[in-house]
Amino acid sequence: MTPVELTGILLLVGLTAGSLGALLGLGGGFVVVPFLTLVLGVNIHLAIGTSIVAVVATSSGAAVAYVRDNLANLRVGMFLELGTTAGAITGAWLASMVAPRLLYLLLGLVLIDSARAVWRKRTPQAEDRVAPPDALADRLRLHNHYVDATGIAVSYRVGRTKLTLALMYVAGITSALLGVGSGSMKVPAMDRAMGLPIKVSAATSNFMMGVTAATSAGVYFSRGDIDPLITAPVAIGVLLGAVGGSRILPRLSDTRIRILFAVVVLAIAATMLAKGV
Amino acid sequence: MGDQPIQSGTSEPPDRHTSPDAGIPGMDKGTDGADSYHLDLVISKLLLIGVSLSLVIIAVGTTLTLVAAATKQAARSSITDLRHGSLELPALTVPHTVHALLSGIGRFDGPAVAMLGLLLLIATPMARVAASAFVFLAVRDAKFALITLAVLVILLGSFEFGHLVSG
Repeated sequence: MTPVELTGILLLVGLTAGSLGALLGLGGGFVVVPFLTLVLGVNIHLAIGTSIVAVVATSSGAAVAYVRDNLANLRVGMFLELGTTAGAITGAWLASMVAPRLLYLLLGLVLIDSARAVWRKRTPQAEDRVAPPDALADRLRLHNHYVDATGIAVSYRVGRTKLTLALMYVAGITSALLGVGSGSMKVPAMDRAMGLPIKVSAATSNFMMGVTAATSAGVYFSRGDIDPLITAPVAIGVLLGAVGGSRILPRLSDTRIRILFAVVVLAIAATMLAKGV
Repeated sequence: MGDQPIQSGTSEPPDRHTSPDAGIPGMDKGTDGADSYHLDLVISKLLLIGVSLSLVIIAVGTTLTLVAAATKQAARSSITDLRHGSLELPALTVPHTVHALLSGIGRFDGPAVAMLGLLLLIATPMARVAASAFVFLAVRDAKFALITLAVLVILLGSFEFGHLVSG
């Protein structure tokens, strides 16, 4: 393999990860880590370092549009970042003492449950939309609305803020431990616990993810786990892919997003379980 | 202190006839409190600048790396070894301290330039948090100023923490 070929392959990996990640509120780590380690034979530490940067790239690239179009809920995202960043620090500290196999098994099971829940809600029912009253959400003024593809404003209310914050702490730990954006945990948490619309969940997950991943990226950089030779082409691909994906999301139907999400997350769960067994 | 400078407009649904303006920044959400000080536009612009700038620098660095690899046999062989186990890069060293980075950029070293772009990319979400904290302070939204500042402290702490855990 020549350097040019390698760069080309890495660009394509990035494009796939970025566009799929932007659409589903995932970081794209689920594409980057398996491909780099299994197909290219890259050292696992460098693969995770690359994946973390890819997550930052997906997030920022997609958030340009999601924030501008009010699809991402800024106040929800910024509040929940308290949980994800604190979790990321904890995860970096835990990394040296937790058996990864156990973690993979646990996460695989959690993800299967998440995929099932998101799949079940693909045909929306009225009672799913209504979040229980939440005093904290009122005080923080988290409720908002977005304008869908047909130009109709969809209002939504936010519930179970504290529970979601706790779930975000767990997502942050996972993010740092496995070098993924943990969007596969964040999106279902916002969808199920908070009661956000699926597009808002995906967009807000993307918006937040950059901060969580940047926290871990700082750690990986100072350890020397970010190698520009591999990471740079992936990052370029991801940035371009994420900008593209963020243009498509508003036009997709909620049902399609849910189905795609469930399928991709099930695939992620399968790889996690395979690593754990 | 004026904790609620702007009322949130969530209780009343916004104008339903906004479709022509849906894609235009700031046009489609006039009733929402947070938009009165255009936090969304500030953040969107900031992200766009960070993303574009780092994209260009990473691309320049990658090009320089490829040019160097085409001329240096050592670099080429290290890439060819990629398939065989863990990847080691003796010819193109990875700059992971600020000093190594700066001297590499001075030499127009491809990996160092690309790394600068990657660091700028990593810094973009942090700049976003800092800018948000600033906006929340300016409009005296005490709760969210505190929340964003706390996130910022954790973020900046993570760099120091990396040195601690790696010894």
